Amino acid sequence: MSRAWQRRDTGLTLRMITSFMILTVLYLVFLGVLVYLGVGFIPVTVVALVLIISQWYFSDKIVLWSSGAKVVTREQYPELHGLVERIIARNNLPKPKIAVINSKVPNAFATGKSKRSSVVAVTTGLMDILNSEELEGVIGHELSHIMNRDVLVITLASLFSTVAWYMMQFGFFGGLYGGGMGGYGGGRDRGGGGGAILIMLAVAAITWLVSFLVIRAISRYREFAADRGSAQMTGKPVQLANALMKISGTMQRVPNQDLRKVEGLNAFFIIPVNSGRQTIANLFSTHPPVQMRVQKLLEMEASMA
Amino acid sequence: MIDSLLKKLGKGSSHRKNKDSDEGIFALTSAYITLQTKLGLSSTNRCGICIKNVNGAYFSDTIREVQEFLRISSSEFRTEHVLVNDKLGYLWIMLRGMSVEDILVASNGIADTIAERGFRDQMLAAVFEFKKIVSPNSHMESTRLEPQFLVYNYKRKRFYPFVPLGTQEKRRSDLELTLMSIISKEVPWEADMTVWYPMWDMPFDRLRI
Repeated sequence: MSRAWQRRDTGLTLRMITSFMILTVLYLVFLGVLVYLGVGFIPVTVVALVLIISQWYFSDKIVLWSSGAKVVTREQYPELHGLVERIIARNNLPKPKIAVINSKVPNAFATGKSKRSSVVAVTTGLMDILNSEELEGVIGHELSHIMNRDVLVITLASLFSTVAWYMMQFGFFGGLYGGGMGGYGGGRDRGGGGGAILIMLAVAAITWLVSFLVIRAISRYREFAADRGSAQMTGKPVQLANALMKISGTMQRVPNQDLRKVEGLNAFFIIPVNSGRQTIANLFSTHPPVQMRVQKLLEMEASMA
Repeated sequence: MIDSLLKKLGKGSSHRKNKDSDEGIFALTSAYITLQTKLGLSSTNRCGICIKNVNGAYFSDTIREVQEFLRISSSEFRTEHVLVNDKLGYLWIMLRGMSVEDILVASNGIADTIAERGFRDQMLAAVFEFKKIVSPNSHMESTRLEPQFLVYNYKRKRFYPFVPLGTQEKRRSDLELTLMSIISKEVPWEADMTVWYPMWDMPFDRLRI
């Protein structure tokens, strides 16, 4: 499970999502085959659980592998190690492994099964654009994900979706055979079965979609929670807000050109804020809009002042 | 008397929407206290009003009238002022007073005078200066002595932060965000960061501290 750090960076997130999607599809096909072969409910459940647990068990390896992150030593990145050590010392946390991804896209994520065996990964691009206080905010956010056991939470949430899917399939075959044995005559049997297939497919699709959206919603909530955790760890929510704005490109939109030079450029017409457009995209997003996160962080900053 | 009463009542409702009204700027009279208590940021009671210069006698008359107003009222509002023409073709009326209220009242008088003469569109911004209060014992805080500004844009009637970093035309965005976190709900706030235009090299050094 990845904790890819922000919405706009599609490359890294896509890579990891694809990896996990392929795995999930493989499981589902495999389980489907087992069910089709007539293996009973309990053995199939056991197999499914074993698969999911092993996915969780190997999740850090899969994430590191699919993102191209390399675990780095203190000698290779002394400043990064020093920065992480400062935060964990202040907050009495176990030290995670530190990995670096060679990518210009600013991003970070945390992964790991337990608090002790976790990995925090950052891209070289992230270290390029953030100063050390901002980087501290980002790492605090990732450490909070580890502290909140978000990998486990999201894995469990996915587990429900997988189980729901699997039960759909099981019910589907069960229902089909059951229906076939019912009172219908030969020719109409197939027609009834076809209808059942369609209904089952529809229900399965809806189940999957709903659980997908629920996972996204949980994930978005955990982002806010991790922001809050970072604010508590560093005591400087404004630095994480600053980092978020840099990463998302919002900061680059704050102008550097003098007001007196743009005065004639119609720069001052009040444009209504475009609010409706983002909502659909938000449903599918694992991360809340940066603006909302920045706003919450600034509220925390205000309450700490 | 009834007329003036009606006028005052009217101000509460329909006149509030008057598009030429800058009463939002007076929100600063309470916001500066918030800045002081929460951030330790005090008003230096200095501000600069930036006006686009116009060639012509009528505009010169207007500015003379403004100066006259400031001269007459200086005892009442306890302000002093300096006029500066900058390299970009703007006239700055730099004000220094004993309190935020003083400079707000004075700047409002200036804006009214200029608007009455039909030059309201030439008014660009009013810039208010703040500085961190530092205890005399701390040595490490020297960089925090850099001024932080709140810019009131007369066209959009909103405030935004501007904290320059040294003299290299760079900004302290973290301090700007901190300012925003503290007072964006207290004053008319510019939520659109793409119009947080900086103003480099403002002639504050022409005033006494």
